[in-house]
Amino acid sequence: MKLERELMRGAGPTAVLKLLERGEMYGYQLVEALETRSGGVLGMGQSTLYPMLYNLEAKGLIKSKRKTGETGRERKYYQLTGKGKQKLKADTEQWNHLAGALTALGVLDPAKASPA
Amino acid sequence: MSAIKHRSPVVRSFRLVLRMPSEADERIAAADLPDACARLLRLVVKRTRLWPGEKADVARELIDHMHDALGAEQSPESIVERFGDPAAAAKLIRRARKRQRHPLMRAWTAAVKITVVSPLILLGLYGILWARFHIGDPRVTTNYAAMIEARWPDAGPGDPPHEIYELARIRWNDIAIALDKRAMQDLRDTDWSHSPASDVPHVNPAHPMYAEVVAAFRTISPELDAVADAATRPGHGTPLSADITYSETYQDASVDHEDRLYTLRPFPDEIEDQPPVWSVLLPHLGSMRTHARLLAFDARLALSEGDTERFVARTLSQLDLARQASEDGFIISNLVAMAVHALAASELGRALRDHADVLSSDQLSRLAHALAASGDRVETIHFEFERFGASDVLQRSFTDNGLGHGRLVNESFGTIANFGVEDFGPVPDTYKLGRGGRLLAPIIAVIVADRRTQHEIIDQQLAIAEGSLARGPAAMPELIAAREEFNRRFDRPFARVRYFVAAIYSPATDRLLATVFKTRAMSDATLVALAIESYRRDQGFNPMSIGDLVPRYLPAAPEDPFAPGEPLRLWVGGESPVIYSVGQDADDDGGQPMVESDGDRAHHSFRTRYASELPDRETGGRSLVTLVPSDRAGDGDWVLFPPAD
Repeated sequence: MKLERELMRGAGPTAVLKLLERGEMYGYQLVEALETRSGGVLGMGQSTLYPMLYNLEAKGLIKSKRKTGETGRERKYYQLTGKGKQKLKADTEQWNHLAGALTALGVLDPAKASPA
Repeated sequence: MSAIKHRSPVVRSFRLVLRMPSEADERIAAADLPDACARLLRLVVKRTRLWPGEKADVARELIDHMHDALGAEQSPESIVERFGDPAAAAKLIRRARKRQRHPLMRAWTAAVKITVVSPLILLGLYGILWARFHIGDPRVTTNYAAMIEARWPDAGPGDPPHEIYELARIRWNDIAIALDKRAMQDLRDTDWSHSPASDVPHVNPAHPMYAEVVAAFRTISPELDAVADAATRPGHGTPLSADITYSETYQDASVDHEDRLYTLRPFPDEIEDQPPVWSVLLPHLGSMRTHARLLAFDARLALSEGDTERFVARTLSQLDLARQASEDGFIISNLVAMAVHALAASELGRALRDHADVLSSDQLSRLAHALAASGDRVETIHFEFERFGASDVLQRSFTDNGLGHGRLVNESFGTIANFGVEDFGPVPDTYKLGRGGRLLAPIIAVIVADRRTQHEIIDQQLAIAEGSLARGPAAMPELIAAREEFNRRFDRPFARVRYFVAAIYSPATDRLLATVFKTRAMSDATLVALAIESYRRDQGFNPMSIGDLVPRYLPAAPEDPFAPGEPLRLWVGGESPVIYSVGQDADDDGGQPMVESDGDRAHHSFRTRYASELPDRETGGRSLVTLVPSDRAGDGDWVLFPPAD
């Protein structure tokens, strides 16, 4: 299941920040991780991911650098900044509140909360 | 791992700007991607319209991504499909990358846009306006000149009246100018004209030059007879012309007067070649006013000589002149007709004041009937030619989409600003648009309201005037309010430009009707004076009120224009009856005239009379007193009879 554009606009950046919390990643890795770890719900193409990364970088939430990876190929890696960490923390809190509220309203079913 | 060079953001930005434009394409070509992927990348990168370095960076990252995907054994088709919409991607990437630019670079970009791009855009816009202004022609489809001429009466065979008037006028001026040089200082300084003929009515027997004036006057008696004869004829025969050529000897008194005429070139038959009807010249009107004054003087002279039949004849000739002028059908001609009619009424009033006994009852009756009939004629204003004139200007100035809408185009400025003068020889410098005006014209043309709106405004003003004319003085408050609203509407910076065509071609209807109602009052007062004289002869005493004259001597009591619905007032306590209107203060002062103040002639204004009845919204919140200077809002009545010298 894919999210509608408006929901993706809210959830996508938080998801990317969360993935980068564990360490730096390059674009293809992020796409694959979002696809597999969200069960395809937060899967996005390059047309969505890279503008999102550029925006996050413009806001100072992530930073990038080119370096050669384990495979010997040079890529652009993204990593979370201090400001990004704070933002992730605040977003996580808000998502939790939202999820709690939606659960209380019966919109969310905790039994179905894990990605399909 | 490659070493990262740390450069300042500004330097980095400049490097992004200054890199080779082809770098992104070269990277894509060198990436050895499948055709479908390479095509997609080229398309996206090109559409981002970023700086060369930014494009190259984006291309590099997307190439990496695709290599990773190919390495994960995704097919090129799958990669392309999963990429998403290229156009949306390019737009989002562009927006995001621009946010990453350094603020100094953004300021630099904005500055470049303002200093280079904006003027170019403005120049482009001006070019469009220029083209809009110069492309498109007015469609002249209706021959209003022909329609006007078709409504004019036929002047009949022989010299047309205007030529007779011109001959006589020149002859009189030869005499009068000489008189003027010697006696001007002794003549009353009239405030509306300094032409010698204007001063002649003020020459009286006590004047030291009187004998010379009379002697000079007798020499033009044949011309006056010719004028009187011409005045009995239908008015037209004057060519509808916008082109007058004076003979080289026009001002030369030593040349025989027959050789000192002007010639009028008639309007061309083809409507495309015609000037606007509004530019029509009516030179005979000036001659008519001059002749009316000369006839008035001769009438006065005749009465002093006891020649009452000549007095009657000269007075009737003045009324004939008024009729002729009114037959033109233009408002300006109506104004001249009213002025001539008022002069005749005034001179007749003077005769009744000074020599009533010498006129026979039959003469009084003939004069009364002629004056009443003339009054009805000169008051009948047909606005048709004004509509023709306005429509003609609009059809020659604006384009037409067939529904009455259209825009102002280049030709319009020649038509409107020059009133068609440029079609007939060199345009006077005062009418020419300067370089600034020519540059601004395409912009002004955008601001100017379209043809239909201009037409509607003019029509509305004329319709209000027509309705007010039919209702009489009681309509003046509404008419003045409408005119105030009209003036206020145009008293705004943009509105002056937006509606300037309508403003030029809408007659000052409130002033026009004020003239009509005032002329009517002056004429009515003379009719009342004639009726009183007839009553006195029959009864042996004066009537106590105007009501006593109705219906035997007067069909109805005439209305006081300053007190709608009420008759003119009569005071009979003295030697001579006094006929008066209550005047602008609407207060009956028993026939006491308003006192002139500070050399100002006593002036009765409809605007003062009705301003106090206008609600604030009609005067735009202005103090009502400002409508008319306070020193003119004097106390006293408007005395119509006996006339003051």
